[in-house]
Amino acid sequence: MWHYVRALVVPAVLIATSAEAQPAPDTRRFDEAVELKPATSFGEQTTLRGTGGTPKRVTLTIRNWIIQNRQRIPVFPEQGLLVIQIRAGSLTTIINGQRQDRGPDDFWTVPSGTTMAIETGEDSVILQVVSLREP
Amino acid sequence: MIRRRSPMPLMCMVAGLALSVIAGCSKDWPAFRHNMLRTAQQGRCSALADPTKAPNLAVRWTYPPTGALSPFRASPVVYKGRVFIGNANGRLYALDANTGTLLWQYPSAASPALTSQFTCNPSSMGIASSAAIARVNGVDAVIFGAPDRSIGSGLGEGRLFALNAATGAELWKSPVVARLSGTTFGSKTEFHEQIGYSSPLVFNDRVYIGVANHCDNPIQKGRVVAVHLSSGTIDTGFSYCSTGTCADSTRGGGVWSSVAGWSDSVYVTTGNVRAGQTFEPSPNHGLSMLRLNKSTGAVIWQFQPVPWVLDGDPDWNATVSYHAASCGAMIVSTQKDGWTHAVNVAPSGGTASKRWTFPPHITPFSPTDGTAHGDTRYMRSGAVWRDVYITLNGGLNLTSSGVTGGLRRLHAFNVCASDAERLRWLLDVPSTTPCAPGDTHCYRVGQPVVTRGMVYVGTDQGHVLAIADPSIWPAVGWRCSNPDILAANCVASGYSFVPEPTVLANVALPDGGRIVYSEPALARGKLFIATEGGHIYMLSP
Repeated sequence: MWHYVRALVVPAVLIATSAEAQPAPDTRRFDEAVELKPATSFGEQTTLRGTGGTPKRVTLTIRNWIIQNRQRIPVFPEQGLLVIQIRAGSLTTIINGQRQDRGPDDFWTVPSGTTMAIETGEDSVILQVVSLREP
Repeated sequence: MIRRRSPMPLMCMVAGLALSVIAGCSKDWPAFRHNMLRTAQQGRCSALADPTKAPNLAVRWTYPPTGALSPFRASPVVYKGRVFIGNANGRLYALDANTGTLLWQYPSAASPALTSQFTCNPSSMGIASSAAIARVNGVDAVIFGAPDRSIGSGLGEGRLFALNAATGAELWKSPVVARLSGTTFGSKTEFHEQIGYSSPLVFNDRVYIGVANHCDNPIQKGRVVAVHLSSGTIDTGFSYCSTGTCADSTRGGGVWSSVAGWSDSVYVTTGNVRAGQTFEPSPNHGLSMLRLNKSTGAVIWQFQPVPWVLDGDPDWNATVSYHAASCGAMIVSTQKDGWTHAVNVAPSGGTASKRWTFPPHITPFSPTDGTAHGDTRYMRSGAVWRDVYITLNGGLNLTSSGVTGGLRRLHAFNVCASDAERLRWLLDVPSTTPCAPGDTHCYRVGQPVVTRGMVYVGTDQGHVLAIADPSIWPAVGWRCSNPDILAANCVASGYSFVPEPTVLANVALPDGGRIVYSEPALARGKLFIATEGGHIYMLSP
């Protein structure tokens, strides 16, 4: 689990320092949307304690998402607090209007309730997504 | 460090006799990965194989001596004192191996170059495919694949050429083997085939070449085409297509690698199938290592570790090696997702018989095992020496850590050992650049080659390294087999210590151009290497 801990810290720094405005997307380069089907490798409920020591029941899932090339996903369909790592390929994310190019091994977080859009280029992408959400 | 007296002369006399009976054992380097087995091994003795002399490795000549050509993605082949190599500018060069003097080029400077109008990655720029040497109707010939705008659609459809190795005169030109009927990205009504990532295999009186895509725009139907060695005409008796039938509209399984051959079979790896395709074709030979009948192309066995549902584009891009190991013959290669697989040549009950996978894992992979199989750029072919296979690999931390760490690391595997003893040595290759965030093409280490335990490889910083297997020169030390684990925790964490081999030479080539596609060619004590800086260098100790 140590790399998940690292994941929570490193992406926060990256998001704070490297988000830049990017040119508008060229929609002509996207293909017809392909249905997304994640592969779940872990999914359990657990109890976390908040800052006040209040126990809170959460669902923790780890899923791999294969996203085909030349796709635009307006709303990435994971919910909760997300910790995401690119396991293959590269993509552009749009979070709160900020476009960010990302490549293999990049980590980032998406706060609960935030919408993330994804655009892929000429190669397919694999995302490993750890999500924490209310049951 | 203990300096040892070189035992090379006696060893070479004995081993030379044994090696002389192995097919393709040439003191030259007549094909990509040296021979039809694609072992990338120079078995003959030379100063390059002597660890006491390797540190003296230095550049002896450069071509062109002034200025530069376009980038080289092809690798040099060497035969009878001549070096042959194609360039991204669409011309093939023949050089004097001793002096670097230009002997001839094809096409001539006055003729149109061999280029394609559809370019999307380095394999589609001019001549990216390495050449092969053959005997054609009694004449020494150099055979290569390239786009040619003088045929078919005029856009640069792929074909094979056979030239007189001495003069550059045409012996034959094949019909179109890779179709290019348009240049519209994403078009499913046009053919976007290309052969830049496949180097010709001369074997069985034929020339075999793999057909893949111009990127994945869109993916094409992967094929292997055979032409007759004597005439260049298509051998219609040989037919292999990766999906469905050769006539249907299914796509995928591009052959991004070079074909290997031995005995009654040819061996090949194939690319992705799922990109832009909503159903799984049947049969689906994509993402596979395959043994094919050399005369018909019929599939003898198929090893497909990544099933359709997990196809995230881990094209099997590295060429296989036929490894005639002491424990039995096996086919070995690393897939783009970072796993290396070894499969017995002999099938088991008509299906592929896997020998091992590294990192160790059950195959086929499963959607619930947490593994990811995508485009992580483990695309370089490995090298074979004794019972050792040297390659890029994702490493024991592939699933627990990042996927790019292994792109700067060489693994050597004991192919006949147990999983626990599989890893022979591990080296973080110096003179490479860390993969930057967002770097989608993190090529850092080229294709290793080996001569009698001395490994040579290029890097993205334009260096050529000479690395000694610890059996011929003492290792610099030991390290944990899992790169993420500190030495103090290694054994307690269930891992073992493995040697870190010595880098005996680290030569910075003058142009600093990347050497991540081109392999070093080892011939008669000389090392020939081409860079993306547009130069060919000859080095020797």
